[in-house]
Amino acid sequence: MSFDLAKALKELQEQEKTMEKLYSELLKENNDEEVVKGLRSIRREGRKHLKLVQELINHDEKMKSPEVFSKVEPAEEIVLNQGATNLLVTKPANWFPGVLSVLKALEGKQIAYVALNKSADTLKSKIKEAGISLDGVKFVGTSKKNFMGKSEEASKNLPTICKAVSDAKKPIVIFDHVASLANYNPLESLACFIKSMTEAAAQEGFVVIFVTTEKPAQKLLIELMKSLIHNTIKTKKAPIV
Amino acid sequence: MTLAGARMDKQKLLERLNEALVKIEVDIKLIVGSILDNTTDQKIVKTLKKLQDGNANQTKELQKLTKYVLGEVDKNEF
Repeated sequence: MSFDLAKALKELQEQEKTMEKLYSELLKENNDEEVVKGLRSIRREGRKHLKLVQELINHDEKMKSPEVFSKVEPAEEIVLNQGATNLLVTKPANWFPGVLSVLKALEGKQIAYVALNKSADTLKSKIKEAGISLDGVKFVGTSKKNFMGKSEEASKNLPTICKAVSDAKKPIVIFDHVASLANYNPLESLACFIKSMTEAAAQEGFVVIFVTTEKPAQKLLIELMKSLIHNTIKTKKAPIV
Repeated sequence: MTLAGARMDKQKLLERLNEALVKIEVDIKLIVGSILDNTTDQKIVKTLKKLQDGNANQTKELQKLTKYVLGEVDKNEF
């Protein structure tokens, strides 16, 4: 069954409303100075939460407009020669439109998509909503949650990823996104992993596309990737942010 | 208010504070977690992370408050 975001947000809003009511009732029933001070502070925070959830509900409504993601334009300058290595670095808010623009540019091609960040089911439905065909795209090694599962141990198992890519036997491989691996692996291990993937691409003749997001904590990782990966993909500014 | 009555009120207050803690730590946490697992929208992710931080603050405040009320119960001065 697919996940209903609108329903989940409404449920969250109901919970926050219940909490706000509870604090207000407690405030009416208590006059101890310390208790009142504490409850007011908690209720103040709760009211902020209600505003945030309302913002999310409004945002979700806006995003339901079918044309929002379909306006994403195909990415430019992806090198598809055998053994080519490509890098897409996006701002966190532009990550999904960035991925969509890459997939749009590669529509119809045979791709192994290593989902390191989100579950394959979530990605598939969102990509289809954007009107992009997934014919030829294989989400490799996906588990119930995502490729890695949720455990730290699984995320540390970089050789498993290499094997899954090799087993997929597709001419294009997308790693989305590498920054997720940085949560569990030291930079040195990631450097070895990226290097071995680029070498495997050269030897086996597949094209590799690494996607990652730009965060201050990952500055070194991005510098490292730029030094190992030959081509940088360009995307046009997403119509929504 | 009699001491017995005051104790009962404190007991009720403690129960309600506990109810709030459970709601934040279980119900809300579960909903937020499931949304985070299922969304690709970075605005939603960012906002929910902010909400998680807020929940952590609320939990701390509620625990502080519970400790205070428990202390007052012991002193019978509430």
